[in-house]
Amino acid sequence: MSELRAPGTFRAAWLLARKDLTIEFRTRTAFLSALVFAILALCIFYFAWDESIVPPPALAPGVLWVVLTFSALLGLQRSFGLEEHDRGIDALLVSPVSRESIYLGKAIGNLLFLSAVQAVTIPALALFYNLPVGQPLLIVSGVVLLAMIGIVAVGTLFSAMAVNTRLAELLLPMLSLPFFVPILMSAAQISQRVLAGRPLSEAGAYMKILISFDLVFIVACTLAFPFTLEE
Amino acid sequence: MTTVPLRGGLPPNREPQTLEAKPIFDWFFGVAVLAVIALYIRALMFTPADALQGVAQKIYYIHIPAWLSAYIAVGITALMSIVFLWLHDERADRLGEAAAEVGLLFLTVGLSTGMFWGRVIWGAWWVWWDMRLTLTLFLWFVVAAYLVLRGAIEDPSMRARYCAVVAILAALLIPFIHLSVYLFAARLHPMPVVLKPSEPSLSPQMLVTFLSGFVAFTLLCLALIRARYRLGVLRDIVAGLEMDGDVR
Amino acid sequence: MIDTRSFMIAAYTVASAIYLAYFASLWLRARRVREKIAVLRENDNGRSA
Repeated sequence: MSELRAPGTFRAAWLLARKDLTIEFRTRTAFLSALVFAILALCIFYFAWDESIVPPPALAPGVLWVVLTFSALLGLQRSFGLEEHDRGIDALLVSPVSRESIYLGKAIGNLLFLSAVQAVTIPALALFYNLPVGQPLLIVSGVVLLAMIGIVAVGTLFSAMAVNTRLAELLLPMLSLPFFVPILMSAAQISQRVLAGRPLSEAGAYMKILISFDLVFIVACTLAFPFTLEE
Repeated sequence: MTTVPLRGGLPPNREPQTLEAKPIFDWFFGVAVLAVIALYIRALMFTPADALQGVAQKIYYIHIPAWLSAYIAVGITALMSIVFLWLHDERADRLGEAAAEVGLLFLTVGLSTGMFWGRVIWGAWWVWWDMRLTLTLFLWFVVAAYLVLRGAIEDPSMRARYCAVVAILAALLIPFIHLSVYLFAARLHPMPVVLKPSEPSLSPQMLVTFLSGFVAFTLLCLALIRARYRLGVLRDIVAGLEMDGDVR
Repeated sequence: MIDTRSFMIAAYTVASAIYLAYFASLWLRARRVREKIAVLRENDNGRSA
């Protein structure tokens, strides 16, 4: 007879993330809309500058971060919206998983979702803006990953809050954009330098900000998450 | 009926009932307003103009005290959020709310007076390389987000918890914004100029005006927080009465 | 050369206007809330009588 036992924090988190991704994989609506949005925005931004004055590779970092921010918000929006149907969140709360693992599971799911979107967006950016394929682009992808960890850490918590408010769709960007400021500022500065062919060491201080932001806010938001659930 | 129960499992209103009868603007507010008016008169008429910056330097007398007040108010909000999560006392939540709104007011005043000063001294309404300006703008957004969140949640206990969490996270956020803005500003502008754009040498007379400015605006800040707190008390009484009406 | 004095006066005016607007908003909100309390109390008494 198999004994039913509550899974550990990380195992439970992984199960939850897999559940969310399975739903996403079966419907694909959120993924496709985030992807189409990102690529559409890439194309539209191209026309915002005069190509003869600002060369496209100089534009690329700015466009990348604007598009990334808003496609991230699109993805985060849906994270807890998913549980609103049939009050799925209540089922999660009565299940024998810790609240921290609900948060971590949601965050991992969001991170994988966003990484999938970026995995298409960054090559599209390189294609449309004539970026040289090579080491700089790889470094930028790494910076994107670091930035996304921070964005997801904060955004997942705020997404959980926003679904319970009257202005859900409006509130998430209002709350999270100020928190994205240090991430976006540092990440944009790093990618600007790297894409201009300068060494990464020049942006070392920004790299430190990015990494410490990720660490501080993963811990802080995991601790804060239980407060956002009904007691 | 003596106690006013709140929705969502908050403890009953611990505020003395007499607070309801008290006016929003009382003697304390009167004193603060008089102090500010006295400061205006002293600064505009009886304080000599700065040799380097001319009369534009007089903006300092209302600009810098507004910063101090903003930081006092925002500090109270952060502190009260921690107190709320610790003690679950709705008075801490109400004080935090009051201080955040007043903080936003002083941040707005600080930004707009700063822009006039910048137009005269730097020749531009807005410069991104000035660290204080940029930092304050982002702080303004954070406080605004906090207040919008307050407005979007109806359940008092949930509102108090959510807002306390956001305020504490915002307190963690400020050093990060500070650092990234610092690095950004340092690259664009040589540091000594950013830190001290022609710091005026203060004559004793100016110093007195300055110090009385700090006193006057700190008084105004505290008086406004007090007034806003009383408004919060009245609001909660309405919420309690409406709740009673629904139950019956 | 810009007129420094008028910028200084403008800064004082804008700051005062913002403060006055906030006083007014506090005062109006307090008056509205007090009226609401009076109405609700009256209803309460009407129902219990």
